[in-house]
Amino acid sequence: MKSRRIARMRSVRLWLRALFRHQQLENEMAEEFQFHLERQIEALVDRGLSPDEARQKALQMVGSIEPQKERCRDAWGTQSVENCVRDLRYALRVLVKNRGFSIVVILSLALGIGANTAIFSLVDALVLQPLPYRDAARLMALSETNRSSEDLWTSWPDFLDWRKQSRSFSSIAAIEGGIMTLTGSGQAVRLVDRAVSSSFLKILGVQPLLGRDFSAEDDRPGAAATAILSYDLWQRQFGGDRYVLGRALNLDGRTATVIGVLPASFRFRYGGDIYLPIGLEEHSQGARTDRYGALAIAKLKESVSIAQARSEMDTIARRLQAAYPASNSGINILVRPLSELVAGSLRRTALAIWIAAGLLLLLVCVNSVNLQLAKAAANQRELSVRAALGASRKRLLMQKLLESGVLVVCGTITGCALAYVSLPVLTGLLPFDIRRYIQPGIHLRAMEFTVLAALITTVFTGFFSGMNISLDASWELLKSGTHTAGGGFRRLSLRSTLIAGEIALAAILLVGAGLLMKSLEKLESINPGFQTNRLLTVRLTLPTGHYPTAKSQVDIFNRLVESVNAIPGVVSASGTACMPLAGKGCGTSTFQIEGQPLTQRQDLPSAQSNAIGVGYLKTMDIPLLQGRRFTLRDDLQREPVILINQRFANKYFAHEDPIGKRIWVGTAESHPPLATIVGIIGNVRREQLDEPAPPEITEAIRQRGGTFQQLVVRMRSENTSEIAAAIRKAVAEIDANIPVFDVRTMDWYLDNQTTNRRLPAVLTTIFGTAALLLAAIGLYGLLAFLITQRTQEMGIRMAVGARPVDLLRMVTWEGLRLTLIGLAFGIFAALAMSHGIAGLLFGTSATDPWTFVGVSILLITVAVIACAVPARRTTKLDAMQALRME
Amino acid sequence: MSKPVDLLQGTLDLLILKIVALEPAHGWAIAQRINQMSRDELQVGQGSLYPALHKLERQGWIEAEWRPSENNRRAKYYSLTRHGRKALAEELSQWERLSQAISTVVSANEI
Repeated sequence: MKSRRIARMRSVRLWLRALFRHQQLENEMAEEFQFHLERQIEALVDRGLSPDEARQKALQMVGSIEPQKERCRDAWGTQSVENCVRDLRYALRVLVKNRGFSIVVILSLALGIGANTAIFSLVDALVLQPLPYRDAARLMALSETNRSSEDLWTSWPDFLDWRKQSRSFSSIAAIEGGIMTLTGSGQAVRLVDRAVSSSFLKILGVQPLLGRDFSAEDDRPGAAATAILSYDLWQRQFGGDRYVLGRALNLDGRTATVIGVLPASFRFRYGGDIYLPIGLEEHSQGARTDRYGALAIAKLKESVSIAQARSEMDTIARRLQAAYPASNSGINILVRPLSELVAGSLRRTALAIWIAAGLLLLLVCVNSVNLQLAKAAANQRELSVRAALGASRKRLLMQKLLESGVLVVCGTITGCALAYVSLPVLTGLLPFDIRRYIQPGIHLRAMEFTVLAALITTVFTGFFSGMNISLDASWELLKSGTHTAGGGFRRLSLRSTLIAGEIALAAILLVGAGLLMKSLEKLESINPGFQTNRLLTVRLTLPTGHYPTAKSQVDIFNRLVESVNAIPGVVSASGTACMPLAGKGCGTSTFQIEGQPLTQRQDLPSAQSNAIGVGYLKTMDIPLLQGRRFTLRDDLQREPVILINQRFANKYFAHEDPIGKRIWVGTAESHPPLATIVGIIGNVRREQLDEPAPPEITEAIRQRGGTFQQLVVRMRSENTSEIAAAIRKAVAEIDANIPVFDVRTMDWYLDNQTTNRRLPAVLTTIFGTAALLLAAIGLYGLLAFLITQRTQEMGIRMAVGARPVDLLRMVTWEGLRLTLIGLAFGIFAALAMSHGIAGLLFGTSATDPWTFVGVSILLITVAVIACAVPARRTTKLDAMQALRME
Repeated sequence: MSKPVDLLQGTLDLLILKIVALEPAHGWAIAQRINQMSRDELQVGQGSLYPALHKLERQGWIEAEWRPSENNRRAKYYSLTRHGRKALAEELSQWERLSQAISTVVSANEI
């Protein structure tokens, strides 16, 4: 056994020597053969021959040396590797020689592979990666739906019933969001707080980094207030101090003891700075109708499937509908994996982009096959010569695979670099809250995907471009000695098919890009109802308890607005409760118009409600259509007055003048005073730019007060940071306990509104442009090849009287025919596919005729140019010369 | 590239192993020895000898060493390795069985 191992080692050593010390072995072999020859001569001389005769004889006996040496080399067992290296060197030489070709192929492959790698990383982070929690697959999000709206969250009483009645889940927790102010250590800090059930962290499988999790005792009415800090807040506010545990924090004027700190790795889409037990206070305000507050997450029991949980929750929903018809009729319970909730609508976007990237990669593959076929056609003669000299078909095929392999490797490396550079840019295009939550990167999985894509690309291109070796009869070609032999015909039809395919793919991508771009443009051209430029928005909260009465709130608010107005560079400033497009602080309110009979509570109409300061309409540039604006005289002493927007006026006062009419804003039980309508203002879009403005009632801050306000500041210039700093300073001078946050321009919010649509639109446009370019290159290449091939035929045509123009037309028609076929297929496929992105479109039909016509015109124009450039060569053709070719 | 094989496939290997088992020898000497020992019946050409030697060397059955030869020139001497000795024993017994079988058949035919 041992001797065999030694033998094997010796064998491997020799093999390695043959591979890497090849010359040394060659020399030794030569010496060995030389020795043999000389020894033979000596032996013959000993037998009495003269030295010359002996040499002659010996040489004869030895015979032809080279084949013998070759057989020895065969014995070394390194032949296949050497062939490979030789082929590789040859492939490199060929690729360097055809530099232009190689660069086009490598760059297009880099584009295809790079785009796919980057998009895959994004899709992976958004959709594919399991959530970073224990047993993520069993985590569910529970929410309520009604007939019209998809995404209600849940009301507190409903949640309590779910928790009591459901058997499918091992645990179920509620999360409720809010804003708090932390005071007591220097400048007040505004925190995003999350009130959670004590089982929240346990469901996600997260252990606090320091301290302990909430216990059931912490999560009941009357318990001592406790809090768990996020890692970020712990670092930011407490400098990572380990002794933060047990410290009492002043949150909105109440005290809570820190019991834990979360690990840095903990991320949750609806996460916050600080976590508090949700059950601490009775949720008396939580009516069954209030479905905006809480989100429920739950963990499925191990033996329970999603379908089982769904059917159980359906039963519970029906039970609640029967028990509380006033609040729960039509309310169903939606059970879905938590991962779906996290990526939300972006899943669809991401998948659409992924498909676009996949189409691009397919096109890139087709294109590189096409280019390789073109090159192969040019090198046909050389191939035939090699075949004639004894290169096996396998060898030649191998050669092709190697060539495309080298191209793909270069393309992949460049593509990865491209992905690495572009991924941060792509991530930057994501909406802010998602960006904070996910961390896409070129991870191992993305690399695996890339390698797989590259491998498929190699095989695809290598196989198709190698196929022509088996297709044409190399021998015939060589014998006929001309490259106009009929053998190329099938290959040509393959190339034509590929070109038509490229054009079809380009058409699909361009249609997608056109539809998305049109939607984006439509969205961006929407008038939100106010001027958005040079508008700075600032949010602030009055610390609870410091300003208890409406009067004190109005007073401090007036002082704040006055001091901001005094800042140089500020054109005008005012305040509002609801910031349009920011989706914050906006609420609805029920109302009752005087003179109409009072009905039951749930039948009261409701409208969006807002409260604004004096000068808000001017600052925002919201038009007053009728009546008057609020003035300084509209204060707490006066009769309440309100403004309504145009939608409200049209809906509820269709046939009468609303000015002077009176309304109760609020429920009948709360006995609100009657407010007089004094003016009609223009419609302003509320939370979403793509949703038309709803009917809205606007009250005066001076008559209502409020602890949560937003300032709007119209600036003279774009010098945002300077003015932002001045605002912070001005507020701090008035009351350091008022936190100032979310200082952002309106353009920022506007940007965020369009992000969801910009990402796919921009990317598909880039892909579509690249596709168009590649298809044009392919078409150009094919036509140029065609003309070279048919030079002789054209010579004959010219000789019998065809004018150059006829030839030009003939060749151009050849290319155009392919374009039209490809275009027809592409448009057909795009029609079938565009419904898939209907959800991403805005104000644009998935079959928008203008987009389809536009894409067709663009493609045909580009195709004509791509055809005409090589076709022009036919006009310079000289008949005699063309005939003499070959 | 194919040349008519002088010897039965595999028998050349056996002969080489047998020769170098006696003492280390270079290629020419091996060819001579085969010639002499077979009383000029077997001629081993250079064209089949050296590929066979190189193959056996690669298999680890024989090893090569450069040393001065009888005419004081450097020559490549082949000698049997331990593994080669075992292989030789196996080949020999196989050869014996084969030749026995063949001669049985051939002599039976003669009757």
